[in-house]
Amino acid sequence: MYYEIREIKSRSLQINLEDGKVEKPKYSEFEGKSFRVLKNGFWGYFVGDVNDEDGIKKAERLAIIEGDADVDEKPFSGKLFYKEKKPFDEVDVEDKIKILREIDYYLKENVISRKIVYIETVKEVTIRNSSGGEVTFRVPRCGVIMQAFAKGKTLQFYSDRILKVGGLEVIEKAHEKASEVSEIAVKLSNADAPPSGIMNVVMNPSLTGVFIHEAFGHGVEADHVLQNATVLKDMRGKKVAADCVNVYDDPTIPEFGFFPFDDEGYKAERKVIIEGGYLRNFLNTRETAKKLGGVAGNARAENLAVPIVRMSNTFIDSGDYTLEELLSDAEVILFGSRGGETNPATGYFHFNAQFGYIVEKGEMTKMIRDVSLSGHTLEILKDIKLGKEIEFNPGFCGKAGQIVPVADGGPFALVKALVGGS
Amino acid sequence: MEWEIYKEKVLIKEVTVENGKIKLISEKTDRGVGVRVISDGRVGFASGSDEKRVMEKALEISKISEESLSSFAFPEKIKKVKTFDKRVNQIDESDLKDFGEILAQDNVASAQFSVEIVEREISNSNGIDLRECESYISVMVEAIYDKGSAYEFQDARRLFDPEPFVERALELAKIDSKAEKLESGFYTVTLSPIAINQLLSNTLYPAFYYENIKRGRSRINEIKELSKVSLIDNPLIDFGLNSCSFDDEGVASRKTVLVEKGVVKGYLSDLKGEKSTGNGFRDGYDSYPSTAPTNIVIEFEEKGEPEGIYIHSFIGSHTSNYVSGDFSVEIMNAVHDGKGIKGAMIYGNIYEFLNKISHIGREKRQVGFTLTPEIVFENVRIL
Repeated sequence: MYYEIREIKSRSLQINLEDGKVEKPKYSEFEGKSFRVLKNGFWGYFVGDVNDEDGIKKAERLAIIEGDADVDEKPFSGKLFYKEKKPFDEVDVEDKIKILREIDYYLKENVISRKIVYIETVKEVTIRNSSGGEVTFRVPRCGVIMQAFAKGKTLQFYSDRILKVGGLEVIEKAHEKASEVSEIAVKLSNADAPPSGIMNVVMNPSLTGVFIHEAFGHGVEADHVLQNATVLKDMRGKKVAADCVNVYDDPTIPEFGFFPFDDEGYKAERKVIIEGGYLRNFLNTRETAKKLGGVAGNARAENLAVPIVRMSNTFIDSGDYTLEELLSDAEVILFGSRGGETNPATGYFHFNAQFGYIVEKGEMTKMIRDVSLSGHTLEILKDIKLGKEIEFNPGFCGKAGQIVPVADGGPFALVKALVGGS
Repeated sequence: MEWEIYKEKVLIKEVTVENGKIKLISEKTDRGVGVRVISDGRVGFASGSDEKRVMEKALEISKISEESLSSFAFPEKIKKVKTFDKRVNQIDESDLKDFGEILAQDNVASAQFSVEIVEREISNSNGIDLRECESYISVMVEAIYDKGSAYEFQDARRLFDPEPFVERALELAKIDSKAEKLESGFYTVTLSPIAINQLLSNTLYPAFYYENIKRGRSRINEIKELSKVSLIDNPLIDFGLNSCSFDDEGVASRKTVLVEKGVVKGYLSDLKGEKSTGNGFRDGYDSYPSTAPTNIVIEFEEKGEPEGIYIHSFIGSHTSNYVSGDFSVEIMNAVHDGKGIKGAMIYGNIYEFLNKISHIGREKRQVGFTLTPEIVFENVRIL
C-alpha cells in the first residue's frame, strides 16, 4: 500500500481599488489535510480534519475496488522557502493601498470606470509519503490585475496583470503598465470589428504563450494520453512542429507557475516538451510516469483537491526573426489574450485576443477589437516563424474544476490561422 | 458595529472513472466561516476556521476599507423552497462503486459522479438567523471515439440516473469521429441548453447586474428590444438547481422578471445595490457575496422542433466580451443532417443575435443558471 499525507496552511489578502475606492478588502486563512491511499491498484482519497492514522484509515476504507494503478514511489526530502525581497508582513496595509493609488492615478486617464485587484498569498505545504519522503515548501505570490472600461463607438474593456512568485517587489513597477492599460481601452472603444478568414497572423508574446499553453501544453498532459484524449498520444519521438520549435515546461523559473516540489512531493525540474520540432516528453504525475515511462513532477492541485497533471511555466523558446521581418508577411497582428480553450482530444483550439491591428505592407494600420483565433494543434506549428525575445505572462489555468497559477511564455510569432470577426 | 456570520459545511462523495475503469473514490469534508462587519460605516471581511479570530481580522481590515453598506439584511418572511433530497444521506462507497460501474464503459475517457451536501447558516446583528440544507448531484462524462470526442453533464438537486448522459456523450463522440468541415455560410441553427447557458452566462446575464449598470459596464439600458424573449430569474422552483429560500446575505428569495416579451423590466442585485433582489451569492465561505442569477427561465411564444444545425456546446464562450455583448465561439459537437461538423465558428453580438430566434423547443432542461428548451435561430453566419 502506498500513501501520501498533504497538509496546507495558507493566508491571503485581497484588496480591490474600484473607481478610486478601496472595496471588498478581504483576509483569508486556510488549513487542511488530505490523505491518499493506493491499495490493490485503486485510489482512496479523504479530506478532513482528523489525525494521520484516522485519515489514512478513512482513505483506505474508500479503496474498495481492485485496479491497475501504480506509482513511482521515489521519496524526496527537503525544505524550500522561497525568499521574497519585500515580505508582506513588513509593509503596512496602508502602504500597500498607497501603491494601488499610484497605479490608479495612471489608470484613470479618459476611462469611464476602472478596477485594480491586489492579491497576496502565502502557501505552506508539507507532503509525506509511505516511502519515507517528506518535503515542505513555502511560496509567496503577489500581483495586481488592472482593468479599464472606455466608451467610444462601442463599450470596451481592457485588462492587464502582473502576477509573480515573490513579495511586494512584484508590483513595484506596475504603475508603468497602468497608463498603457487606459490608453488601449480608450483606443479600443473606437476600434473596428476585425476581418475574418484564414490569414497570416503575428501573435505578440503573451498571445504566443497562451497559444502554446492551450494548443499544445494540454495535449501533452499524460492523463489525457492515458484517457486516449489527446491527438498527441502516439506522437512521442515524432515530428510535430517546424525545426525551429522548442517548447519547455519549467516550474523552477521564478514566474507565476513556480513550485520547488509538486503536490505529490516530487522534485520540480525543467521538462523538454518539443525539441527541434520533435515531441520529446509528456508531463507526468507519479502514476502516469510509471505507466508511460516518464519523469513525474507535474502533479498539482487546487488546495486539497486530488493532484492531477498540470503545467507550470510553459514556453516556446525564441527564434531568429525580428518583428519587422514577421510583419512583412502578416495581414494582422494580435495582442494579449482574453483567455482560451482547447479540446486536446481533437486538437481544436480557440482563443480571443484583446486587440489587434491590420497590417499593410509590413505596417500596423487600423486597430481591431473582439478578435478570435482558432486552428488545429498539429497544423499550426508546422510553419511557424519565431521572434527573437521571449516574455512570460501570468494566468490562472482551469482543468477538471481546479484552478492553479501558471505562466506562459513565447516570442512574437507568425502563424497561419482562422481569424474570427464580422 | 454591525456583524454578519456566514458558515458553511460541505461533504462531497465522488467516484472517478478514467479510460473506462473506476479509478478513485473520494470523500471530502470542509467547514469554515466568513465574517463581515460594518464599523464606522466601513465594511471588512475575513474568513477561516476560528470564528473569534475571523471576527477580529474582519474588524481590523475594515479600518482601511471604503466599501460601504447601509446595513445587513433584516428579518423578513421566508418562503421555504425544496432544496434537499434526503436520499443523498444514504449514499456510501459501495453505492458510489455502483454509479461508477454505470460510467465505466468503453470509450469513456473520463467521468465523475458525485453527491454533495451543503449546509449554510447565516446570522447577523439585525436578528437574522437562517439555515438551509442543500443537495447537489452531478455527473460529467467525456467520451472519445476514434478521433471524435464529446462531453455531457448534468447537475441536479435530486438523485438521478446518470446512464442517459453517458449514452449521449458516447453517441456524440461517435458522430464527431466522422465530422467534416462545413462550408461557410448562413444557416438555421438549434442551440442545446448547454450551448445557450454558455453563451448567455458570458454575454448577457452580467449586463443585468445592478453594479455593472451603475458603473457603466452594461448596455442593458440602451437596449430597446431583446427579440420577443422573456427572461425570469426564479429561485423558488422546488428542487431547481440554484433554488434557495434566501440568498447568502439572508435576503428572502423572490422571482425577478428581467425581460418580458423583449422589454427590459428588471435587474439583479445584492445588498450593495439600491435594493437587493435576493441575488447575493458567495463562491464559498471565503468570499464576499456578489451578484449572481439563480434559475433564469427562458420563455418564447413560438414553439416547435429543432431545425438546421444542432449545436451541443461551444469552446471558448468564456472569452466573450460581456460589456459589449460581442462573442466568437468555436462549435463543438454539432450535427447537420445526421453528420458531424468540425472546425466551425460563430461570432456576433448577443443583442443582435437574439433577434434571430424563430422558435424554442418544448422540453426544458436546466444547465447552470439557465432553465430553457432548445432555441432555434435563423440566418446565423458560420465560418
